[in-house]
Amino acid sequence: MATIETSTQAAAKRWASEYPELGSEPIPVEPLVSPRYFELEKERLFKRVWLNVGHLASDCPSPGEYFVKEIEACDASVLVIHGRDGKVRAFHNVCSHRGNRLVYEQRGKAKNYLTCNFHGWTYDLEGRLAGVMDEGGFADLDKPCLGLTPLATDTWKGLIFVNFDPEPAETLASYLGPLIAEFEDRPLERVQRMWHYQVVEDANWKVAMDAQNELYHLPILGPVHAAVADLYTMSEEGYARFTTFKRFGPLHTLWGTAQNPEFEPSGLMALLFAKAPPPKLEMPTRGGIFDYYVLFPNTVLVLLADQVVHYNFWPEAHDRVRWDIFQYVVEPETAAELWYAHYWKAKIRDVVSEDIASHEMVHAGLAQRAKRTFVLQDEEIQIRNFHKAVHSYVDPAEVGA
Amino acid sequence: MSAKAAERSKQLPARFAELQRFEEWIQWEDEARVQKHVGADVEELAAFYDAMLARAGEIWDYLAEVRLADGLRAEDEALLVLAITFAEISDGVEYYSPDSTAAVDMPRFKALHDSVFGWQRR
Repeated sequence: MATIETSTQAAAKRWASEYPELGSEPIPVEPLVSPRYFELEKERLFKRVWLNVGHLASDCPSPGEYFVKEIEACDASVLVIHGRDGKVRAFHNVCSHRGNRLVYEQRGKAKNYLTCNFHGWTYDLEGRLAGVMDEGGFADLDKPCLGLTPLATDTWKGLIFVNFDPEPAETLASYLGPLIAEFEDRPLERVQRMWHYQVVEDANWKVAMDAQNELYHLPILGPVHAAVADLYTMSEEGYARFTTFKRFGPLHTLWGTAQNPEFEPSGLMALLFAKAPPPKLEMPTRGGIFDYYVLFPNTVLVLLADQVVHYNFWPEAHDRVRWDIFQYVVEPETAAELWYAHYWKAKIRDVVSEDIASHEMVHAGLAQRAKRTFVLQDEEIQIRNFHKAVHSYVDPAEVGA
Repeated sequence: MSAKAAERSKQLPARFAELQRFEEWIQWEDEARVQKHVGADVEELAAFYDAMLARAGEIWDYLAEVRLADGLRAEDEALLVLAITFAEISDGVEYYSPDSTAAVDMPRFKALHDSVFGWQRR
């Protein structure tokens, strides 16, 4: 097993000494279990920040294509349309006549118009009201003002973001800040979405985020976690270690880790490693093998040299979260390469399968309110950053924490 | 299983005829493969895994000559799907056996992709 030069003692101070502003105090439990706190998060956080709702090349690559995203944390159904003019726009999925959901299906392609199935009002692909059935029956219908209600929409690296604030406090570029420069050498357009798993868990969305925000649990949580831990650089004592942790402004973060140079694959992995052609893409990684970016609040991009894993954690209630897991690879050209992509799909599925129980059991434990706070060690610093960011939108004191 | 999946041939290329005895593992839908996996006991899973691993190098070499852009012959697609199932159950044998065959929550994942060709052909 490879080691890095940090004793347990030094490790205890490594990130804390680099980021003293993050402190070392315990984290209050109440914001993770309080229905009231979730209501405040909806109004002050989710309805005020940029949220990643889709991926252009996968969800609506050509004009006329559209998709719907249910965002319970914003009390909304969102309709994203690739307009005939090539621009992607998001709208409240609500007809201007009587408030019917304009689109019921999850996705589709329209030639020129979207039609409400209640009274047949039609909208063009830029969201303008185009047609009203029996229009003469309406008094003073102001059609130019009766288009779909738009949401601020922007894209970055092929990802589609919306903001529910009618006048967003900042642009998407300003919100992402130094992440923009950080991703300049990452050609995300070279990989394409292959797999999408979704799982609904009985846990607060922050519990699910926290569990993914550290490596401390890696050798312990389950058999596939332990196997994956062997791929990475560990301390002399066999503890998982970040090789990098970085903040991008107060909200977004990165942790990364390096490959264990002594790792020896076995079983099917050994066979596939021996047979697979050299990677067609060598994206730089800051950690060495594996970079884990949190795009606050609920998006994660996991970058490896030739694949990307992309998460969205969508809170459905204070104690329920819908976890979207997307995986992107370089397009397979042969059936063997497709087989290999399936191997990685299954590996990631099996790792995160082991996480589900811990998300739900941690939530259940916290909801028991046996503890008012929980404590974090230095290798869990990304969790500390995450909660500090959430607390900057909603003060835990408002729920008595 | 969709009607379309049910009609597909499970006949493997002749050189892999000895693996035809595992044709029940040739399932086009994610959910069907998962059900087959979690319905199998440790011994059944190991027998499938061992037989597949013994031929896995040959399967790779064969599938590496099959270009997706050309479209797949039925027997090649059957072999690919068998190989996919093998990849999906491999952690069950390598890491979970003999105590179990999978993480208990694994069947909770809903697959929103095409089960064989991925998102673009969902």
